[in-house]
Amino acid sequence: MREVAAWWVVLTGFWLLTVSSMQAEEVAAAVVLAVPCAFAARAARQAMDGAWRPRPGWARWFRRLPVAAVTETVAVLGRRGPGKLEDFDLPDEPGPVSEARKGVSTVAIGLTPGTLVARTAERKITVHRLSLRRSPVPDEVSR
Amino acid sequence: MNVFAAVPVFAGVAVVIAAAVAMLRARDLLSRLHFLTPATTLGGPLIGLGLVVANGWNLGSATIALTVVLLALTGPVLQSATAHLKVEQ
Amino acid sequence: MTGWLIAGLLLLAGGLAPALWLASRGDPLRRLAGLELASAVTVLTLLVLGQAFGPSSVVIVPLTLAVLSFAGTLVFVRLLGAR
Repeated sequence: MREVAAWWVVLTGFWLLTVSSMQAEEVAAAVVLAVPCAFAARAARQAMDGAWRPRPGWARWFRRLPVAAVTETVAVLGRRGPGKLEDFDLPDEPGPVSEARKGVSTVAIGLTPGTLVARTAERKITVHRLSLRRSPVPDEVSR
Repeated sequence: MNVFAAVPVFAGVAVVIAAAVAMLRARDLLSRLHFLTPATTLGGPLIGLGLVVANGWNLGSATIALTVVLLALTGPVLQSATAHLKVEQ
Repeated sequence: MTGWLIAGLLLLAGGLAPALWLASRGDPLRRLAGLELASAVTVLTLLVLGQAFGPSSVVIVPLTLAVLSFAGTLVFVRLLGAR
């Protein structure tokens, strides 16, 4: 039930963030319609057997993002490929933490144009790299 | 269109066009997929920044910012899912 | 011809046209890459053209498109993977 309540808060906030003007009807619609959607969200998560436990320290993977977005875009735009595939081992962790690590690292590695995650396996990710310079993010992820 | 809005917007447009042309020129699928990210991580936020500057701080700007952030976050996921298909082939 | 219209036109001609070209030739995975780029460029074009033309409330359209095209593309990925 707590999970449904959490989903309800997020969905109502999402709706209210996108209205053009705050009126009572909008707030009422958001509050009421978020209820079945919250139940649906919980059902979807259970259908996927999704259980993620991310660690707050992973936020540091993103700290180089603004600068890297610009420099890697410039570096990559002249190249045509083919790039290189590289494997990185992930540390041994309980299931939910490992799943969360793969998910967050896919976004962290993919957000920069030079690298993308091509495959995730049990304790390993495969990264495809296009630029010549080595990005530090995959190494950070695998520590 | 004031200049503080025009500069980010046209910079973002230039990045998106460069990414599209680079995607055309790329040799194989995995390299092609890389060029989705300049458009979503750099081009989108630049255009979004220009739009927010033009509109000021109001609810419409929050929606624009949310759209651009969503585009940036979903890009890597789609890229990775497509690459996974290719690697598994 | 305001600056927003020019930006929208540039996005359509320089961004959407290559993406549609990519999406119309080659094997399914290459077309999927073109589709992903086309969705992203369309969202950005709608944002810019919404600024050029409409009331500010049309900005809900590119937001909805960003969410739905994400889900729709994942459906394609799923279907291509099952072959």
